[in-house]
Amino acid sequence: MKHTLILFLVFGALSLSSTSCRKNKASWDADYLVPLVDDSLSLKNWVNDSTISVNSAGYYHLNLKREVFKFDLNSEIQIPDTTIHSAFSTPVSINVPPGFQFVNDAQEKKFSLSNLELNTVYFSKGEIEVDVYNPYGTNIICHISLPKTKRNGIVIVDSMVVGPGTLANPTKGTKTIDISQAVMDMTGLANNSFNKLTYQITINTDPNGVSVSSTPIYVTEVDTKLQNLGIDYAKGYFGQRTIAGTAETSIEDLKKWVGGTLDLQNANVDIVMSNSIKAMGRIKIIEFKTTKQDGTVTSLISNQINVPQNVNPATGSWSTLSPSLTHFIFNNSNSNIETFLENAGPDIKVVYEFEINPLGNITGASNEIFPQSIAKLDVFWDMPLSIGLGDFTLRDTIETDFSKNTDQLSRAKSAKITIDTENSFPISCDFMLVVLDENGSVILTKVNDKEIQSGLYGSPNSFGSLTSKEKFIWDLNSSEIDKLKNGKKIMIQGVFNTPDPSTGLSTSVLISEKSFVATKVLLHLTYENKI
Amino acid sequence: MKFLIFIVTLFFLSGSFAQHTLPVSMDTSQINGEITGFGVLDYCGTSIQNSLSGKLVYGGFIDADAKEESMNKHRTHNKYGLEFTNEIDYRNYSVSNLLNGKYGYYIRGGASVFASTSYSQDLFGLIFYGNQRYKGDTANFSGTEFNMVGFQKLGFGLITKSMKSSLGINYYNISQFADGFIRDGSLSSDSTGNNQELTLDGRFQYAEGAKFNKGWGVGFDGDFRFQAAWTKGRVAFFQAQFKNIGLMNVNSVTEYKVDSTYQYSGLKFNQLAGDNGVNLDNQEAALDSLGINKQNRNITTFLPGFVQIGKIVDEHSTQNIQSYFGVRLYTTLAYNPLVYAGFQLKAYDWMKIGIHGIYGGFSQFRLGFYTHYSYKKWQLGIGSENIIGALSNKGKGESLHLRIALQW
Repeated sequence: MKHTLILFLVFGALSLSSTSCRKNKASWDADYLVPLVDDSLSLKNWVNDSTISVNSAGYYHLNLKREVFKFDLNSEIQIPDTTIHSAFSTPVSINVPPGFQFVNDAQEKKFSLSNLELNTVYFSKGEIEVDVYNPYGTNIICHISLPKTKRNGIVIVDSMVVGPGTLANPTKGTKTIDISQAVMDMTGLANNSFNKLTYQITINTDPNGVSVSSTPIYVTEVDTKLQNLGIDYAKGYFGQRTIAGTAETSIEDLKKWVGGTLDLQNANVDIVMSNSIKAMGRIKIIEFKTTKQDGTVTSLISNQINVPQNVNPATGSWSTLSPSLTHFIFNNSNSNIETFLENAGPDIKVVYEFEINPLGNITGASNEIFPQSIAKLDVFWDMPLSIGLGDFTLRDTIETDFSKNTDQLSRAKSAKITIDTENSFPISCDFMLVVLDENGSVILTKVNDKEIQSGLYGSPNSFGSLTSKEKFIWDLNSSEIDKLKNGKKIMIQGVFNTPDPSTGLSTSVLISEKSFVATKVLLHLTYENKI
Repeated sequence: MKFLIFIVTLFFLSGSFAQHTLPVSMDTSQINGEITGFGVLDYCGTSIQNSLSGKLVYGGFIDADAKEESMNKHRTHNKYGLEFTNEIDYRNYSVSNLLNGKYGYYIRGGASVFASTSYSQDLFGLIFYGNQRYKGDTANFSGTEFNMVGFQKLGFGLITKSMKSSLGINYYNISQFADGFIRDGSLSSDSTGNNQELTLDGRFQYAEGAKFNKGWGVGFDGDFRFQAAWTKGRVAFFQAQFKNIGLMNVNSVTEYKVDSTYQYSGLKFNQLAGDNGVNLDNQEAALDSLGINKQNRNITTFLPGFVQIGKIVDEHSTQNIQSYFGVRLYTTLAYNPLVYAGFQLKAYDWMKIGIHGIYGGFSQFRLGFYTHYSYKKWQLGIGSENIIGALSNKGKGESLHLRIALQW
């Protein structure tokens, strides 16, 4: 046993020594090429019906269309679920023979519809459920008629047989009548009212049944429920109502604009009220303003602001329905629109007020809505994409956390970032990269001794566009790489100008549809591998 | 440190040598029992020099000279392999009632790590120089293979008392497993480095997790010895030996398979940040987007087996010089059949010295050497199958074989 122990100790010690002798990892440097970015930016992806178009000369034209608000009156015109209760009995004790009609009741019921006076509606959906309670010891036959509700011109009628019941336990009969796609005249029995349901119920004893006696305590009850009603069309008076609101939006990209000037040419902004409700209206743009991040507010100034304009009713009907259009056109001659746009902040606010029937019921209750009826306010920004940039500065900050890659950064011996650009925009760009720590302090800055030149300074490419090509190299030594371990944000800043090649001064330039900027970023990295 | 190990081992050990490494001796002495232990640390290749592989094994920085020297030695296809084995046997020959008294028994415990790879020069270049070396060129690494198995075993077997032939069965705990191949692989780059194309058709699988038991196996060890007529009327002893011939079942193997070609020239701006940003945290989505199929499964495959057939030396021979030779192979595709031949010189009764030449395996020709000491009940041995490797950074591997035995 002693010898065995010695052997185990010797081999154990050798095994340990042969493995534990590897105190350090094996390591070596290798050089890697890693393409980081390969992309080409143009405005082609923005060409559509509501953003940018290309004119016949091959230059971009801004056709920006954005909706400010939309009002759907259909959501306002609704008939709530309604139950009508009726009870019928004979005034004296009588013997009721088979086939005797003991109820013949024609009635109208007025719906409670706030601020609406409807005389005609088309139901897209809905049903009438009739519950009849029979206390007699014979079958009764119930006929339901909606004399002023028609589908395809035919009055809606229906009937049901309710089995014999007792005074203590009347038999219940139920009939559900579909009124979808039906049109209802809501003027009542006298044709001079509104919001009224007209119906008729008759009840007979079974002609093949037995005679029963009836006293005043024999009560036949009828519950009529209108439910799940949906309206496609309504005519009447929709009331005098005001929709006041504020449309606010924030354009994130504008938050990156931190300095410099923007010069626009021939800006034309059309704010259009489109009304496809057949009712008079009135629209007022109370305020249109933008706010920059520094709190600077720029308001649109015009004699059209805070002044109401009448909105005509739509014309036509159903498939021929055509909205009325009411324009607020802002241009350089009637407003400060160019100044307003050139100083646009990211936060945009439009305060508006829209009235329906501002003069009351002056059209004889002839307001109409159709399924597609809405009132909406749209902004159309129309101008040639001609811009002048004077040290126009965009800055974007990207959150990151280099501390998660501390080990990798420690093993990066050196790095070289090569940026190749090819630019055919008539815009120059001087860009820089800054890495910030968690306190916002700068820990690394990479600037260039030159800029991406405007394409106008370059030479023609194979498509005939003037392009300028530049190469930028950022060397990062191990000390700079080490600083990155504390990096929490990357800030990229570009200063843009539109220089005139002949003068060097910033001028307004048209943007060609062939304009692009292509960028390739390649990382040369010397990295220490370890195993 | 490696030199220190070498000296310490030389000082403490010698013997009739490791069980399956050269030379194996035939001792027909009638003994009651013995305890033997042996250890092998052997790594070698066709192309990688010790100035580089030594750093891989023992740690340290691999400088440009070491890389360049090995790079220049590489051919289109290259091999590299490693074995690290410890085993200890308890043998009892004194049992009299086991199978008519002709057999003894042994109990064996051990641990091994085997790793081997077959690879291209370009793969070596990519790993040690990076892809910048192949700017405007193509690095081809088709035909790459790799496997690595680590296990511990516990076995029991019978030994004939007369010839010391044995046959036993082992249970294996699989603690490490990985293998892979690249059937078709290349990385191309244009002259600027901005556009790169990777072609990859291959598989990599490994046993996942930190736990010690990643699988199990059953295998056999056999050692059959026989004598045959030799020159000048003498007889010689021969041995046919196999070890770890069997199967293993490895649990929770994660397999990655891919057969795709990727063109990459960089990210788009909208992929750098924001909603469309590349998210490497979601590994599953990243694999899907690259067309890499990942699955977990249990696999059953062969243990890293070993076979050796050859003439062995006779402990009781009256000859001062004896020859030994044979052939050896491992059941891994990267291992070429190895042939060896050498002779043993009996300097004293208590000291023998052997020298042999070896060709094949994971490397090319190399010289082996051993010393063997006997002192009373003890036998001690040390040797190397790569003398140049032990002495020079120009060598292509290192080899250290140890044995200690106690007989009674």
